[in-house]
Amino acid sequence: MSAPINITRLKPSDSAKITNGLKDPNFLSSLVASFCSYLESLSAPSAVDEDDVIRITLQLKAAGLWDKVSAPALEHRFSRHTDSKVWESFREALGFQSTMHPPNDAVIEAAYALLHSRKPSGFERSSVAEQDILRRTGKALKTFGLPDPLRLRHLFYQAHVGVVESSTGHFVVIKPDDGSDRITVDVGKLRMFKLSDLHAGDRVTYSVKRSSMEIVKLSKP
Amino acid sequence: MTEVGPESGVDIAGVDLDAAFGPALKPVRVDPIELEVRPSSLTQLDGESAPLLVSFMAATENGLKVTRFVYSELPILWIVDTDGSVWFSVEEIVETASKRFVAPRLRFGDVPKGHQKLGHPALIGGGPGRIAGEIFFDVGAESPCWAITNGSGRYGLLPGRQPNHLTNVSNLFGEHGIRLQESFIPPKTGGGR
Repeated sequence: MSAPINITRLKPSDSAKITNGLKDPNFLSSLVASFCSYLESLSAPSAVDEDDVIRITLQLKAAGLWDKVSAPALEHRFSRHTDSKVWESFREALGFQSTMHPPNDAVIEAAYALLHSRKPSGFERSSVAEQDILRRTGKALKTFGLPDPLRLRHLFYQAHVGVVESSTGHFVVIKPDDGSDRITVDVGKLRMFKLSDLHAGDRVTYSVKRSSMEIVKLSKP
Repeated sequence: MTEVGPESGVDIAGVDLDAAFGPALKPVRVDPIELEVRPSSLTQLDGESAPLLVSFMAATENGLKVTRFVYSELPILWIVDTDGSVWFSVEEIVETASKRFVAPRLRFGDVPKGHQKLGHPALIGGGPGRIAGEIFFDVGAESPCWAITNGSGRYGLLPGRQPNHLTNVSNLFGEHGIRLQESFIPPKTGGGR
């Protein structure tokens, strides 16, 4: 997932960019996802730097983020993925009490979908869990007049064009044209993509999950 | 948080330090090592250190890329102590057991196991302090420049800190020819933990 702003390295010049970007629902969801991704990275208590959490939370406040999204709703949605110390610092910064019944917040639902949606196969076959998340998110977004999160799919997946570099009988190695990392595909998975075989030199298009680099779509152009 | 006695709120020149830099407050938390160890790079802003800082900052501002990119990721911590003196250092990582300096802490870097960082309290022995924050080179600004913030979770972002406190610190640097772009971060709204 591409973060529009690097959360851990916020500078004054980023504040203006954030303030301007908050009008764009995609930017907003992506920013919240990026912030929560940072919070989730503080998984071990020893990794939690309270000063950083407080500073970043307040820098985002200065940029106007917490006027757009509900801080209690964010904590409620993401709390089980993050160390409690993180949320203590978050609450300390913004001065609110934890609540069991925060308001519904479409942006946070979209951010959660961006970070935690699971998609085991191709685009055509969403998992029940993801369909549920997207349906609930879409409903919430509609209420708030925001676009459907399906339009944010590009944040989940990255499409590539490449060439089959080698095919050993067990694995196919694809070299992407854009110079990114090669990807290896088990030949047993080719049938899943309705391909019988691939040979060295074949041109292919494919998509990978940004989070795990798992291939989710593969075809010959 | 406990304020220091009112007698410390005025310096020998009669300046109301509480009004200028905010009251001296105890930090909401201090790591024990920050009571014992002072940063190796700790320096007081005075007539001796300021010219060195001026030349270093000017070189960066004038386009020395090496320092531009280092100091966009390596904040210089600063704090105003109870007497109104300004202290600064880089954020340092020390080995917990030996308490020896290991490396400066980059903005994006984690503190490795067995090590600890020396945050703002270490600059003044963990005691009460006035406003505090960071100075770094904002390489992403329209005109890249040195920026000063009150981004210290333990002193600079305490409730009651005001933009003019940061302006007054910026002016102190300015008296030495150091131009800083101020960026005030709104402080915490509640009390400390």
